[in-house]
Amino acid sequence: MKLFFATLLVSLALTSVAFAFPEMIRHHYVNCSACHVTNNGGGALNAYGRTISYELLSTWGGEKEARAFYAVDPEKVGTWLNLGGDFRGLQVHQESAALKRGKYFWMQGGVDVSVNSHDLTAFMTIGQVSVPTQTWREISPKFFLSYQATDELAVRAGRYIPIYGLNIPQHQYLVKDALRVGQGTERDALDVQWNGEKYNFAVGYSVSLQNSLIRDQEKAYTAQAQITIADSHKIGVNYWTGDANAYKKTMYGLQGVFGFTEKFYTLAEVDQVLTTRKSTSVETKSIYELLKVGYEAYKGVHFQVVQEYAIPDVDVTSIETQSIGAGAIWYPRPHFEFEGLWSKRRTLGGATSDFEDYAYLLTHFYF
Amino acid sequence: MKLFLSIVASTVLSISAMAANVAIKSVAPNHGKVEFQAIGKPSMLKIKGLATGAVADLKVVDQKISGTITFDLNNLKTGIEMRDEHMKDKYLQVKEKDYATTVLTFKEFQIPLGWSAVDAKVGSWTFQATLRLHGVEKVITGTYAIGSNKLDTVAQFDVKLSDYGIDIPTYLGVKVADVVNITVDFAQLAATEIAAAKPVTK
Repeated sequence: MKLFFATLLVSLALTSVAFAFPEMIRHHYVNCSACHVTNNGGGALNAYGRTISYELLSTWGGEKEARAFYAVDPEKVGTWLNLGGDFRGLQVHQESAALKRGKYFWMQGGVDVSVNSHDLTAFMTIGQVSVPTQTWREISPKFFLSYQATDELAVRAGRYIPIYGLNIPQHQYLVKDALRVGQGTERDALDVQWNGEKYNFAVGYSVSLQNSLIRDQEKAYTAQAQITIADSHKIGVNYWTGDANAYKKTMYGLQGVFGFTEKFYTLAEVDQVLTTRKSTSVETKSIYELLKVGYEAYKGVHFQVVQEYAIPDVDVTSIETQSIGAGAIWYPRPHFEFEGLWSKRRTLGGATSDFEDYAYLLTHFYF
Repeated sequence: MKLFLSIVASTVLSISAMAANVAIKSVAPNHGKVEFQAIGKPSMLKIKGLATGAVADLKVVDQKISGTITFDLNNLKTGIEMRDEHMKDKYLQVKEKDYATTVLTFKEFQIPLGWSAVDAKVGSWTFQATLRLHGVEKVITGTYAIGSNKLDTVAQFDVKLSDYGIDIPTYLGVKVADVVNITVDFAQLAATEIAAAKPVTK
């Protein structure tokens, strides 16, 4: 459990709020680039996204308030420059029959700068928080240059997380953390994307960094295909094949985002991972699953139920993780987000099979 | 416009079902919904507008329909207030002249033969009418379909904004495509409304 708690802390600490909100498909935003600078979401908001941050996302707010740093007026500056950034703190809590503990820490602090000229966009995140030392470092964990060949077709090269699965900010979820496609796993990468009215395709190649969470140089090919249905639902398939010094990994996944109404939505993902350790030639098959159901009870106020399941080795059926939790997200005004989730989680086959309580409260300010 | 078309289609079908010369006024303006869909590029944003309410003033003589259907563009809503304001004030210019009202005019349009409300057959047809929008009149062609003997009707046609002198909506990097698709969905037109139509003396 200590290991899990530590993992949870690290995962949450590396969470980036700047990821896209695919549940916005319930408002017919079928592609992330409607609001974000990047085609697959995340990072700084574009000028239109700033508008949406108060028109649709937040309980209250106005046009001037939603501007980057409360000051950058896109009508005057133009759409060539987009600024953003995040400051985030987190309170976590764990409680079981044997222990009770909690901690608050600073987890994120960085500024996003995006400049575009004609069909070229240059993006960079400046600054990263070192969670263990609670210090800020002047480094760039994410940067890229992209070329928009047509309305649909784009090519991108730089350092970022390859496209795989749901692009959501909650990287503590098993489908992100266990698959190593969350924050802290940025790689040197190249991809080609087609983001159309109905179909989305992405293929890419990437090499992981030795000093990242991957701890190895994995060369990976990735592919994703999605289809939009009735302008409010999106389903997709994912494929990943990687070759590292210590292992080979293949992942397959299905994902779905369903906007049943403008208030009621669901996100789902299930993945199978085949990992072969080169030292032993033993193949391990793992399965990870996520189901999230949300309801926007009032503008900017969401209630959610999150269920997760993981079996890290299907040949050892006695070891599996089960989790279910409930919580809420509130976007009171542009720039502010609060998210809380209380979960019951247990790992069968561990020291105890009893459910334990895990909770977190995230406070987030985006510039 | 979608609303117009829906009402028109429903009305046409209702009238055809009677197989008689009739006059129809204000045919159930709140029974149907009119929806438009525009594509915002480059993100392929789906902008949807929805409205209810239209007024029909039509007559059928020898299975040919003539008359008008009018719709108040102020009723359109897209789900975002500022977008609604821009759409109505800046582009549709509903406060200018008579631009708030759009009119669909039928002139001796032949309704489908052999179709009746009593023995409804699912079908899809092409219609032609004149649409006045933003002070400009253009002939439009569309399709309509009947789903059941309760006269569930869906009609569709496209409007090219530039044909009507409407500026292409652009906002903070999002540009709307010139062609806007309009769908009219008129569900279960009540039989009493059909029966309420009074024959016209030739």
